[in-house]
Amino acid sequence: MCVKNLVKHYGHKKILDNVNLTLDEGEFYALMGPNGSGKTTLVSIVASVIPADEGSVRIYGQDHGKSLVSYVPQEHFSSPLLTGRETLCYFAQLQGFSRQNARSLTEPILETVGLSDEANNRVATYSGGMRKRLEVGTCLFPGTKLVILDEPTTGLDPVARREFYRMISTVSEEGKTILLITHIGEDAELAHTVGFIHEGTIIAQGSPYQLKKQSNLHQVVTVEPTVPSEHVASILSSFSVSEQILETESGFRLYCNDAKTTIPKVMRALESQRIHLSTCTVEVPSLEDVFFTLTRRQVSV
Amino acid sequence: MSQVYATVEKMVKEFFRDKVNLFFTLILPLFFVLVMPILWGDVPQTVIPVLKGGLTLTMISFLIMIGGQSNLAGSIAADRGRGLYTKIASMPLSPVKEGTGRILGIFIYICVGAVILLAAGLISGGKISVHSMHLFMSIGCYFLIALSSTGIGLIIASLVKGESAATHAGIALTLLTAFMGGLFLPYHMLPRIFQFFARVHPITSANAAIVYLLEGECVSYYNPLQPAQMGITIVLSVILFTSGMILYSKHC
Repeated sequence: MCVKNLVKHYGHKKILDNVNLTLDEGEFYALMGPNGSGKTTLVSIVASVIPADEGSVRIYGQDHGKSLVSYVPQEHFSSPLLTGRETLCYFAQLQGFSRQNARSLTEPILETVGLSDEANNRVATYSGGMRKRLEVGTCLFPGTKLVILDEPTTGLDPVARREFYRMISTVSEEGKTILLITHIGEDAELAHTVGFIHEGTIIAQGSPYQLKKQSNLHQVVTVEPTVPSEHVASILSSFSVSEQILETESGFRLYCNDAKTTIPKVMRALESQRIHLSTCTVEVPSLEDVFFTLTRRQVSV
Repeated sequence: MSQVYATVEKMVKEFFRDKVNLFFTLILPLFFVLVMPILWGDVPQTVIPVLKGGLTLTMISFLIMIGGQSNLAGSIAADRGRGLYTKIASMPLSPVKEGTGRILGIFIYICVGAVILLAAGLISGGKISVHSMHLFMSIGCYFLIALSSTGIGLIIASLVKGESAATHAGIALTLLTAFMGGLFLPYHMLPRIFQFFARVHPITSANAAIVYLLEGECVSYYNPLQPAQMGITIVLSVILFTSGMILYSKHC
């Protein structure tokens, strides 16, 4: 897939600004960025759902690769009144397969997505994870080369997310190219290549390892004060690399080169202000940390 | 062809599995056909079979209205709300085939419902003329009702966002049209302005034509088969359907 100089406006607002992106056959690419960064707009253009204002998208050399691309939007698009088998059969026929072929194609796909036992139950009885796996199943018909997944794990619990990505790994190993849209660093870690999109532009890309290495982030100290305090952020920022700290729901993440020497200094500084900590841990940097240090913008909390 | 067939199959299955749909489209008209005659206490016994026949024919029109204006609109709005159209837009599927499948789906649903209602009406003692030419013309009029109703349903689906809002808008419009157009009241009892509405609205006009053809003027209370009125009915039905299709292809 080759995206060249893609530009898209909504009214006067520029959503995509000269985006260039290339995916090789069989590659698993995760595009990561916060809400409103242009991720969904980009994949909507690639999937031929909306037109671009400028630029081109070529898939296997074709301008309109509808028969080669399969898109799973964010929402649950499957009908709750149909069964899992009927849903796959319906989409296979929409894809152009005959009724007879559609029926025979659904069986191996149901197995791949792990829904063979639930195939005759209505989608209304499925959990969020099962429903999403079924919807990914609509992308696995023969002929599909590129699978686009738009924030597929939103709303899934950790177990369902793990099951989901186990299935995606199988699909990737089968040779399908995957373009995953996400704002969750942990999900993006599974990809071969990760691209960061910010304000309609791809600002960095590479393997998760390369991105972390290039960011020069060595260690992350997570600090959770017992009582929220306005002073904590300003105290912590003086100990963090480039004075950057990421505020999370329960505390803060500060970036340092040597946690062993930084932590005692942080503790002393906080205790002098009578601020006590409930937790203080050392972690390796995540892709969210890398994105934050590149843009000073929080990807997810 | 398999794309049209797949859409038809999906629509029919969804309609018959949705209990709310079934209630408003089938159970409610069936209730009227079976229960309403009980309230005709003073009506002479000799007239009752004809009146029951007229009521059955009118309830078939009502069923078509609900199916087209409410069920179709609600189904499209639901599919749009859950992102099915986003998914479909990325697939190698022609919008004409998808739209055709949807309309054929609702036609099949309506036909099955009409056969059930007709059977219930006849079993409960309703009498209908079996003159072949009249039957043929009546089927044509039902087709006009289906055309207008699906057209209105497509317009509602295109303009009203949300499944619940589209479904309720369709039901409200159906009830309003039915009351104003004489589906629930004899034509001679309607105020003059509503009598005019009943003659101009393609659905109520076509329904009056069916009742006139199969039961006679004693039930329809006027002759709707005037060239001008039938001309307006046909033209408006085609306009409503075409407008619906244009709006649907633009907004859905």
